[in-house]
Amino acid sequence: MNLNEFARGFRDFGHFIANIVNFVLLLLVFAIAIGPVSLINKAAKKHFLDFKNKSCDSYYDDIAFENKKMEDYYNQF
Amino acid sequence: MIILGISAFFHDSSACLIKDGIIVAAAEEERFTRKKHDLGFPFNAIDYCLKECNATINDIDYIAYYEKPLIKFERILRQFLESFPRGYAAFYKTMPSWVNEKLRVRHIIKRKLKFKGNVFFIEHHLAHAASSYLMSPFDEAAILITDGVGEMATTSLGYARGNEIVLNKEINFPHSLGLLYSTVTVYLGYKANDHEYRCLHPNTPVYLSNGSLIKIESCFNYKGIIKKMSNDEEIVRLNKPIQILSLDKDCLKLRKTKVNEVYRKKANTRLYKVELTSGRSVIVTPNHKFSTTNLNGDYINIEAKDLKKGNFLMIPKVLKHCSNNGKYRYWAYLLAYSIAESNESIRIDKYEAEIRLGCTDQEIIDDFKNITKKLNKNYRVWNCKYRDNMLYIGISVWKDLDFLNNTLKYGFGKKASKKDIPEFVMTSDDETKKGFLRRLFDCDGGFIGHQLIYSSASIKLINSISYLLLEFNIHSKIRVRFNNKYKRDYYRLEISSESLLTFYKEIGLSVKRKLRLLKNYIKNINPLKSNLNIVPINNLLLNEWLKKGFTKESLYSKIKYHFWDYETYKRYTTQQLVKRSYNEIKSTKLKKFIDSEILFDKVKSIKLVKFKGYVYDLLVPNYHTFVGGLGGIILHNTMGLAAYGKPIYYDKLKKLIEIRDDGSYKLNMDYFVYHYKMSMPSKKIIDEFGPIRKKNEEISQRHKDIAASVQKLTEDVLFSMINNLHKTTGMKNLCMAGGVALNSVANGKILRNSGFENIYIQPAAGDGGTSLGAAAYAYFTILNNERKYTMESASLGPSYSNTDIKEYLDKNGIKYSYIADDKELVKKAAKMIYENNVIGWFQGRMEFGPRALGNRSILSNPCNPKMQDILNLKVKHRENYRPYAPVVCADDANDYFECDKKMQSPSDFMLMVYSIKKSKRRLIPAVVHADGSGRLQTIRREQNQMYYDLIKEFGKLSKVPILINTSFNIRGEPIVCKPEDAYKCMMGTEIDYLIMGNFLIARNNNSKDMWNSEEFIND
Repeated sequence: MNLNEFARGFRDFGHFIANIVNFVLLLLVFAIAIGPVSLINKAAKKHFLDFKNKSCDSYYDDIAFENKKMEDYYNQF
Repeated sequence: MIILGISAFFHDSSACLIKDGIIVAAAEEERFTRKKHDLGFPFNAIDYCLKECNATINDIDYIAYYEKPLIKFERILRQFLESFPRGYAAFYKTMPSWVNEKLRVRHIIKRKLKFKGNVFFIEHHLAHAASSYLMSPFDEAAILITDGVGEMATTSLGYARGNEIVLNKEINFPHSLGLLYSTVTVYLGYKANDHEYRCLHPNTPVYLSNGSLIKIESCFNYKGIIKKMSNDEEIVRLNKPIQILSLDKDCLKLRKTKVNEVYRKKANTRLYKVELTSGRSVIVTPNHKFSTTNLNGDYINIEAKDLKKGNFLMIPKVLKHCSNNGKYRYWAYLLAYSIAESNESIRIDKYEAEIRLGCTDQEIIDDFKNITKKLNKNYRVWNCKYRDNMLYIGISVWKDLDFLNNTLKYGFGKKASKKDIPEFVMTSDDETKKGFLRRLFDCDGGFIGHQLIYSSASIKLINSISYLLLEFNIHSKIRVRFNNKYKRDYYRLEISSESLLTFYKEIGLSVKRKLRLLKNYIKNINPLKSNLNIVPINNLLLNEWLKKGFTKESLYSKIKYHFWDYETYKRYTTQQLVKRSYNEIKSTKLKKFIDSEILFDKVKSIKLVKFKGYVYDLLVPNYHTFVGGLGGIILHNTMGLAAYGKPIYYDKLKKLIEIRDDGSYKLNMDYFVYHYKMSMPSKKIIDEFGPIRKKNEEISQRHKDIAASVQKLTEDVLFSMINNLHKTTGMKNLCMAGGVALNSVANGKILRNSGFENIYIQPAAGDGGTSLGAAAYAYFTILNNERKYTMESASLGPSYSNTDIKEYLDKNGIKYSYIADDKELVKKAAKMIYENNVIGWFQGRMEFGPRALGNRSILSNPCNPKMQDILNLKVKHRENYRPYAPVVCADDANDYFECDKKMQSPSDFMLMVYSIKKSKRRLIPAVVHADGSGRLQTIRREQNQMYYDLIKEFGKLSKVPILINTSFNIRGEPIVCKPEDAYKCMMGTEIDYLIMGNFLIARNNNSKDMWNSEEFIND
């Protein structure tokens, strides 16, 4: 068997395994981390996105002015 | 000081390099990798930027990244937390890229780029704002950023002064005008489509809802206003609409529809003669679509050129007509005999008609006499004799003479091959039609095997009879035979199987010997033997059956007399099987087919027919189909010449969004799913607006109307926001960026609908431009350097010298000619364009942004009305109705376009749509949109000398200094970057010439490299 074909086959197998592992791991994260946090907050009637369920004159959100320093721009948040 | 701006990992990755306040280079990654909207880290674009600046990564002072990844990640998590337990599919798809790439940007920059300096992270909308304002000539301006979503904000408003940018109002996710627009665009599924006109042979009969049959050519000649669309295309808008039967695809029933417009086009081509197993046939253009279903029961269309033997096509099951006219019933009966009987004649002399009819059946003779008695009530029958097997009737007709003169000629005294059924019979009531048919078959019908047949030398007559029979749910086959005695074709209509039974019940026969035979044959009818019984929805039936917990064997066993396997099942998925199955499983999907008014017939043969002349079609609103052809087939109308859409869905779309006076809005999230799903249109949108347009599905008037409605809605929201911005800031300049700022139609109306006097829009207003914005924000705002640069040109990408181009051409053995003098090159190019050649123009630096602006462009002649078709067909392969954009020298723009009083710089970047002056529209038909507008590019000599001179030179030849400018790319690929991309594009499409630098390459001189890009497209 050609080595390239073997390598390709092994790589494809690796991807296949990776997909399964990803699926299982992410499912666990989704169920164990996202799930409880979401359910607890829903029980407490807290929302993570603002659907603006209350009608008002303006749907703009004001942005508070901040005097930013150069170092603030090094942050990823 | 050198700043490198980067955008990556969302879509349209790009890089931009600013040195001492001036943009040295900027390019999108997709141009190098040739992957459209490439979202990978832009290594190639960064490489290019550094090379252009003669710098290495160590010379970079700062890198500016276009967003704050952690804020964005927080928003993503919020989406999943909000929508749990929904959203796992999206979670699974997105998390790996966040973990591997998007949260490791600093690591990637440090490790892979080997950059040791500091990295700025600029908020997404600030980067957009900077890309517009800091590149504009303004010292102060109001700012509006609208896109899908940044970190959290979807719309941001603010102002800027000097180097400072302040965004003070925003609308946050999930409320997004950009995502609303995208949702509707995805719903409409606008994609390139290579359809041309879909038409029919001029003699194709069309069935009208009153029962008459007319040639489609005749429809065009009805009174109306003819509009010439091009040299060889016309539409007539009828004064009085014609009413046809059209197929409602949702319930598969025929509906009465009014047709106001008929189209025709000169053709010199091969047409397709499609014949079905029942003998039905029609002659159509290659792209004409036929209606059918796939195995899953979904309605689909197949073009004639893609048809194969054995494909099933839809035909009408029964033709509903509306007429209760029985006024000339007895004349109709008389005519039936005359049509059927060859030995007949008539003499009409002023007020008297003498009819002679050969006949031997006593029943017919008696009936004939009976008819004359009835006629005697309104006319005077002065002679009625039977002698030597001939009936003689003399009738005085002092009224209805014109009618009689016109109609009796259809039967009496006519050559056999010219006989036909007159309109008054086709549009009469059921009783008249039944009586007519019975007498026709009484006189000349016969039996061969178990089939009732009717033969005639007249195809028109056979066709008319088959349509009449269809009105009573009687399906006939049409066969062509050759008569050796008379050395000509004759046509035979055959009725058998279940249709014979229906004929017996509905029509019957009076001649006893024939009736006896008929009764005998209907005793042993086998419905399975009829092709028309097949319903090709095998998978749908099987799936519905299995869903109810039954086994497939139990379904197969319902097919009597055959082996129980899938292959047999496929061949015998009949109406009866579907009905029996439905009785057990009560599936709504199956009910549609049971209650439908269509059947399926197989394609027997497809032949090519040479044709020269006009081909025709109807423009059918809403349903886009009609019944026509020999024997009756569901046919499709033509598209593309119907007007642009009307915003009739505006009020419905207002349910999706609530807008306030200040322009702020919130979306009704019941209609959207993008906050937890990867796909966009929700079920509620489908319920509200109808099914999603599938890939390659016809763009109907409904789709265009929805598009027009969402455009109007977007404009209304934008103008409200802009007016509020003007009110709150009091500024006269406006800067815009974000994906929604690429909406050129809205942009062209901004100044007229607001108090702003000037507007600047970043040419790369989408996410591709945020690398530029990040770099600019870092240099001017964070580092507070002096602003001295205005972006007046988008030519920031790589260029290739004549040496580079020659090296490529020689290495690949490409034949070319070299024109050293630029003026001579321009003259030659202008002449070629004037002679209606399509030119690939590859000069200077590649443009940054989504538009081709004269350096990577396809140029052609806008004065040629056929040019839009030529480009659509040969080069761009897209919807016919989409116009091309004109480029005009800035000093000539106001002569042709209704521009803003003061020409705005976004028109240099093709970001404005203006109305073309009415008196000029006929001069440049290829760039005039249906509503008379054009998305123009203006060019000044100092921006691009050669391009400017080319347009002027063309103007000298044609007296119209305007060219068509469209992007230089193969469908599905980004705009070309390198010489090899340009050459590949030319050879894969039908661009006639390529001008790269000072080199002229003719496509026809390099036939060894020709290929068809359309075959390999995967978009």
